[in-house]
Amino acid sequence: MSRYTDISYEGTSYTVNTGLDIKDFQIEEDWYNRPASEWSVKRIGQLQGKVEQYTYRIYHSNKYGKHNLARLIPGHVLISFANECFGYDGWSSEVEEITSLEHTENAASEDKRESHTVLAEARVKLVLKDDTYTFAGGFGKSTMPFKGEAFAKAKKEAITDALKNCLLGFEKVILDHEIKIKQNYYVDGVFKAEMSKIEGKTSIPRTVR
Amino acid sequence: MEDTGSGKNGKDDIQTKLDKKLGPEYISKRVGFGSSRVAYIEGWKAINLANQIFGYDGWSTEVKNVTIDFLDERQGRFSIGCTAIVRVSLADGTFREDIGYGTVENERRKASAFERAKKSAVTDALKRSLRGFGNALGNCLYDKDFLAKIDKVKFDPPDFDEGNLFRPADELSEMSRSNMVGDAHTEGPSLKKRSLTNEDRNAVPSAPAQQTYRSNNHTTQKRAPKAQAVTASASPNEETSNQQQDPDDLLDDSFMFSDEIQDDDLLNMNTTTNNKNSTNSSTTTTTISDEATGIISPVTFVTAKAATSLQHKDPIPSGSMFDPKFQAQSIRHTVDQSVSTPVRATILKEKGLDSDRSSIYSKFAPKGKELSGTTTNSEPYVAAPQTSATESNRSTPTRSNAQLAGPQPAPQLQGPQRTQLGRPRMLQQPNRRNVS
Repeated sequence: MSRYTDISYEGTSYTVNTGLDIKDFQIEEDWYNRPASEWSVKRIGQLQGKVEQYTYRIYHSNKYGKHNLARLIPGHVLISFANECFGYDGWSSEVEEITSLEHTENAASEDKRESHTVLAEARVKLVLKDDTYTFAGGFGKSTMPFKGEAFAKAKKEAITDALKNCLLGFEKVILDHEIKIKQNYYVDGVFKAEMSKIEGKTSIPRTVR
Repeated sequence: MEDTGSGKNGKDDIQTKLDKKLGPEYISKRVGFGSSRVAYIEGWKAINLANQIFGYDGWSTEVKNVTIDFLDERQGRFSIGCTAIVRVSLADGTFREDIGYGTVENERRKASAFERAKKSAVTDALKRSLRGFGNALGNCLYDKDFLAKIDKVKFDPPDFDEGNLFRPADELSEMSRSNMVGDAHTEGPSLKKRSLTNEDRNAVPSAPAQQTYRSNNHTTQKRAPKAQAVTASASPNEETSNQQQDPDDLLDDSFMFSDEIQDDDLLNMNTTTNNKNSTNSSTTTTTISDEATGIISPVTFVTAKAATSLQHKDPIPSGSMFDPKFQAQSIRHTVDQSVSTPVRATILKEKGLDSDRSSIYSKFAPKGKELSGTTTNSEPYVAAPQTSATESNRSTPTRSNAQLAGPQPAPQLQGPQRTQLGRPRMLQQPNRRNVS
């Protein structure tokens, strides 16, 4: 609501004609990979600290070389880090997509039983309390004697991997944010609170990647 | 978000609850892949925990998607695997989503296979979504160090607390029962019966408001001699006793149809009717050995011949009593039949049987289908034909053989004999239906 008029845009739905992209008009601010408030900057920093503490010994000993961080931290550890930093009600996770990419049947041979190999892909969206959100994909692959087990394990692995990638991807979000602030990238205010607040959800389809 | 004082307190409370790890009461173990033991939480326990932590109106679930990944048919039976995506939302709009997986193998019907797979997938997804909220909802079960320690934590096994059950109150059922009796049976015998049961209930000294099983035993023990006295007096002439018991039996039935019936009443009635029925049917009976002490010996089955001797309290010959532990010598016993447990795979391995059944599946045709590449049996199968009354009276050995063996080839019945017997019934043999 504007300060000077009584006109409220709460609950207004915006539509555009075909051929126009509603995103171009920046009607609703998009907080994809961009912290929406001071709170998220602080909390993501906390999360980052915990992650680095956990991986310091492994990551910085040259024994293993450089590894993918998502493979070093178990999913449950990352989830409890997220709960500690954002609070149990500070973040939400959403399964955008889960597909099994390929399924191969390994025929039984002399020394091995028949087994199934499944490769699955998942996309998870992670939303913080202040509408900061991010996407990440993940893969899972498993070989099991039973088809159902192989599917189950691969898909769950993919989901966990995607969620891990989401939480670990916040590191880049914060780094980008700092650079952008230094370069005065944002012209419409850095955080959400400095803009006119859009309370009601508009019916803009969120098809951001 | 409204940050009222109570809301803030409640939030902190929930957060501290969620940060706690689970006690051993909530953790179950099962054998996982290989010989590893996998810790898990049962679905109902997870739901109970969520209700305790968030409150009964603090969370909700939504099944967003169910996808069937595969459906395999083998020997007319279906194996199915399906994925469910479940969202668990809290009152303030926070949510977690996760997937779950369910498989069902060798189910006869597609629909029921899917139904079962869906159910387990949704439960799995619900548990996985809930664990995203914190340790207390199952996230700690992924922590190997924690699981190694939790085995050493001692806990008392959850006791079944009879006094703490949510049950219809005693006086409530009393009221409803009197209403029902007044409505349905206004004639004499019903009232008599009711007063009788009431007497019996009053006769129990210091019976608590909620009847426990122990007190039930008490009532049955007190009841048993009475019932026995009735049967003893009734046994000489069964005709009159039947006439006397008929209205009572009818009344008992009318009691049984009501939902409002109290458990202890029902138990009492069952014991009386059982005792009475034992005199009537005389195939099943409860042997009450020692009336004076009120100890009831275990129930056994006796033959119909022994029933009269039972009624006259004569000793029953051991041959006419059913022996549940009897083992036939003519059969080779591979498993212990005195207990009812699933046959372990290790036992099968010891006996030299392969646990992989795929070789067996290929040997037999499914129901209503036939194996490809099998030679048709030239022997025509004839089942036991519909015989006339005189034939059945003679009971020739061939006929009894055919009856016992079922669809075995009975060459004696072929040829001229068959035409005499009228219409022989051909067995539906899948091998015989030659389609080539």
